[in-house]
Amino acid sequence: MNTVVRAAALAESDPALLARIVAGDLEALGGLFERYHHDVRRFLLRMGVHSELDDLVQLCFLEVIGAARNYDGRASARGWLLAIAATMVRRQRRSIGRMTARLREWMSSHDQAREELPSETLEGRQAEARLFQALQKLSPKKREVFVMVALEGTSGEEAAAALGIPLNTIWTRLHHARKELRRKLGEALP
Amino acid sequence: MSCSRLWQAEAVEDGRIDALDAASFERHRLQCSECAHEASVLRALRDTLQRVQPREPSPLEQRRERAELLRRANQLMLARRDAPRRPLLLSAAAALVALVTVSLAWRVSHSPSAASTTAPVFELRAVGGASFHDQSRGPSGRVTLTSGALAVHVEHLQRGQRFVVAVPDGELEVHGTRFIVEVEHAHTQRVLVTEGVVSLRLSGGAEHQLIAGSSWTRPPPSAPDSALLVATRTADDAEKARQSTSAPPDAPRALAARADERAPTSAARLRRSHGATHARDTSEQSVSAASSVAAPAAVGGSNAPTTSNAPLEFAAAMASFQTGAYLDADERFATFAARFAADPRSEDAAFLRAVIATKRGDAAAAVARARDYVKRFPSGLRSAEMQRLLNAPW
Repeated sequence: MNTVVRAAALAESDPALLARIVAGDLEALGGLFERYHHDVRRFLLRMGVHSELDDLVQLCFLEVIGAARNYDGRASARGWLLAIAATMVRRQRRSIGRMTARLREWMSSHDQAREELPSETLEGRQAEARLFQALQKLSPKKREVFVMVALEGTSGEEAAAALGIPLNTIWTRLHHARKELRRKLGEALP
Repeated sequence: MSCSRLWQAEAVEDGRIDALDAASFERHRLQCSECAHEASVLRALRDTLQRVQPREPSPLEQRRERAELLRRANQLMLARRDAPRRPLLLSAAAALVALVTVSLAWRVSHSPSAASTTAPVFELRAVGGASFHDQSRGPSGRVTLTSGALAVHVEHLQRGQRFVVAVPDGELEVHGTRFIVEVEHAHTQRVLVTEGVVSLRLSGGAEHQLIAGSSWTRPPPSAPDSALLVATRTADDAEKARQSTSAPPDAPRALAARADERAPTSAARLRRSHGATHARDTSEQSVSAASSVAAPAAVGGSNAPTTSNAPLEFAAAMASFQTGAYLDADERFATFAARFAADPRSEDAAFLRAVIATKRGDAAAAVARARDYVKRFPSGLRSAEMQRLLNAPW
């Protein structure tokens, strides 16, 4: 790809990129992907998606093509993209066809988590795997709020708007998620 | 020994308390080992889980993924573009279906019961006291609010229907929703949306879309316009504002009392359903808090507390609490708990009344309310915090 065009796409604002996507400009979609695919990938992984992760990241950005028309013009599309990712996870969870894959994934989650997490020592790997598993044991609703607000830094208001739930529900789920994590992690915390 | 401010550690971590309270807690934390520990545990929980970073794909993998995305997007777009090239038979069938649909739509739109000619169904409720005029005409619902707070519920709007609340400094366009709007000194002070979406257009400002659960509060005069959305006045600001006005601190109560004098109940409600079910009122209807009290009887409404009022009343109390109007919030929570004792939010009301007493430095009331909470909700969500409050060294 032309480096100049690519640099221009990276300098453009999110609303401008989204407007070009609506007009059918694929280069703009590539620009948005470069800007946010790390965030989307990390969010999906924290939400417990392992198998078909790459596919799901791509599906999120393909969804943008149809959804861009309804973009509300906010300066950063990050929260909006995470909301799309959360919807994709919910959709995937509901899909009966993926049940088998998820079952297989669940059975091997411990080993996978150990492979995925970068750490120099065995103790470190085990500790991180334990943290990751504690996160995965939260109910999907609590996990999605905890990951969005506490880990990804989305504001409560933005998460409420993105997930379509009242703000007070966000705080309640966050409170219960923390309570559960503190109970599960116990001495791992100071 | 347990600190009564322990709950603020989580509120600060969430970013759900205002800067003044957060700063106050930070100062307190330096002297309170328990709060310092709680805050550090919450921070450690976040930091520890954030440290678990999944493996990032290599630059080569990223390039491959990007190329694959663009290939799939291109395919998708081509498929959409190719969609019209269908066999002739299919196109003919689609045209036939479209023709039938258009003709049906035309017949529906020209029938006397068409949605576009009926008036929107809405319900207005003065919160405390309000002065408003209903100027609805045809399918356009329009209410002008000149002062006071008004809780509005607009049922889902049909095609062609509109509903606008005109305020002295702008207007709110409603899209089938529940919300509360408050006007004071010819300026909109706050808007709280509990359901649906509201567009707030104030003169000289940009349009704000408020969705369910969000609120807008007028910032202090010096604040920039960008700070308007979900702005929250601090307790001190609210106190200063209260002191600077000529009205006595209990002015809202006096207003409500005046409404009470003129009517048997302060629940000023007006439910309107034009068109098919009621004769249209073409003349401008002027309604004040007092006169609207009579309206329910006229339209068969009831002043008895219904569960449909609960969200609005709780939201109004929450709005007062969030803007630091603690006296008003306390009164509203008490009313809510009395009227909707079976509602799950009455537990929150009981908890927040104890919090309000703590914030106001009224130890006796705080302890009494905490005791009441523990008695009524022994396994409640906040029972541990209430227990700590009971054991606090006042």
